[in-house]
Amino acid sequence: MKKIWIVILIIVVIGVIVVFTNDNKGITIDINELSKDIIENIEFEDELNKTDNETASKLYDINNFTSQSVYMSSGATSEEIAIFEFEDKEACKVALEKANKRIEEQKQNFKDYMPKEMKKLENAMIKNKNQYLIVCITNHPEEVGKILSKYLR
Amino acid sequence: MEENVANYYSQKRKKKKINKIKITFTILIILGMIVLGKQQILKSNSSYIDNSIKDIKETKDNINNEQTISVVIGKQNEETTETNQANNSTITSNTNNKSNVNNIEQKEKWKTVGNDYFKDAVFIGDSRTEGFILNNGLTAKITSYTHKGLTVDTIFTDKVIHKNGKKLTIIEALKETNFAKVYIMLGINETGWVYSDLFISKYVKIIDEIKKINPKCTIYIESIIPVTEQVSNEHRYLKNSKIKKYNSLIKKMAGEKNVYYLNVQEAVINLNGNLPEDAAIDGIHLNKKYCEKWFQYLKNHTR
Repeated sequence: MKKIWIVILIIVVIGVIVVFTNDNKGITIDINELSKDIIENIEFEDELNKTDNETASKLYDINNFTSQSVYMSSGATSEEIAIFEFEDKEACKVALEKANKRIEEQKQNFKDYMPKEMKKLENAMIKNKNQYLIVCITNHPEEVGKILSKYLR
Repeated sequence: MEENVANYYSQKRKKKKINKIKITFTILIILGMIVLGKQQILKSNSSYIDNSIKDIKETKDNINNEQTISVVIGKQNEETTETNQANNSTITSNTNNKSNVNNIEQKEKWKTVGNDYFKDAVFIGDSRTEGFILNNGLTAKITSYTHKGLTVDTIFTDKVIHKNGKKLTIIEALKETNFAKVYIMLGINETGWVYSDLFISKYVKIIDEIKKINPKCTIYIESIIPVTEQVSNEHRYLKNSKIKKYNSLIKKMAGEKNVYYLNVQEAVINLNGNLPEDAAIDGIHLNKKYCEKWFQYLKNHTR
């Protein structure tokens, strides 16, 4: 009888550990809420407008996202917000490389044309967490980081 | 003996009670874990469903252009804003009293088209055309060869277009493109050039090259859109007086080369011939609202 109770207790303890430490698919981000939060609380110099799926796909050369929230500027600055959700971590890692490539291209585009934008591009936030890729080009990357951390808990 | 028996049964009853408590406790913990686990699954499912619904809504909303969020923190000078407030109204192509006879005649022959007309068009230009394409949602729908700082020189020399795994100049890219129409707006980056005739001679070279690549294509040369009065007053070389001079030379060139001249600036300038202050955060690059006016002008002026 005692042995049965010990076995049951062990199963219960293991179950509790598994349920409360499994965070592989635990984080869920509402990417539209996140982008809206960034736009409302971060000071941008430019007007940002939301793009459609096709435009987001072409700009970043990413085709396999499950959802996106990408905002582009008028062209007066390099400011933009790009948040993508993917099926899994692996797809997100590949997209991260494409995001880095885009930022490098933007640096080439702006360095002679509008050198004052280089600071924003050098300090661009490019972050991936599980299946989410977050890119933000602004004068306030630290503040964006604080907003993002609320969503990644 | 009787005491021992009584004790035995008493202990047995106690053990039974303890066992019952243990069973109840264990069942409660297991039930609690099941409920928590279900809640987590439901939460992630509903987020996935919400995101899918939002994605569908987003696609519909984008068609109606409902999702513009503007955060403008400008460096506008208040005095300039007050001075320009009285003048800050946009004239349409139908109310420009300075239209000459040629313009009126051309207007009567223009056709109005939908977005599909531009499917076989190529747009060539600098950062303003780049912004035009982006703000009108055309990035993935039509072909555009644009580059920040593009000039009538660098269109031949700078390899800025990624196509078919190669880096090409705009003219090289055009040679590898099927197109029936070309829209060109160049000149703002050349307003600092000393010799206007040099600018025009290089523009002529572009038109000649396009005609060689595709003799049957329709070529539209767009006027340079002015900048705001503030930029014109303060910028080192971007002056609306120079833009006006370039536009009259471009119009003359278009007539001589037998290509269409589109006075797109009519769609966006104010009564003083300047870009309105609310049209561009930096006085140069048109925002979404004004890019849409520009596009509407193009749709109303085709052959």
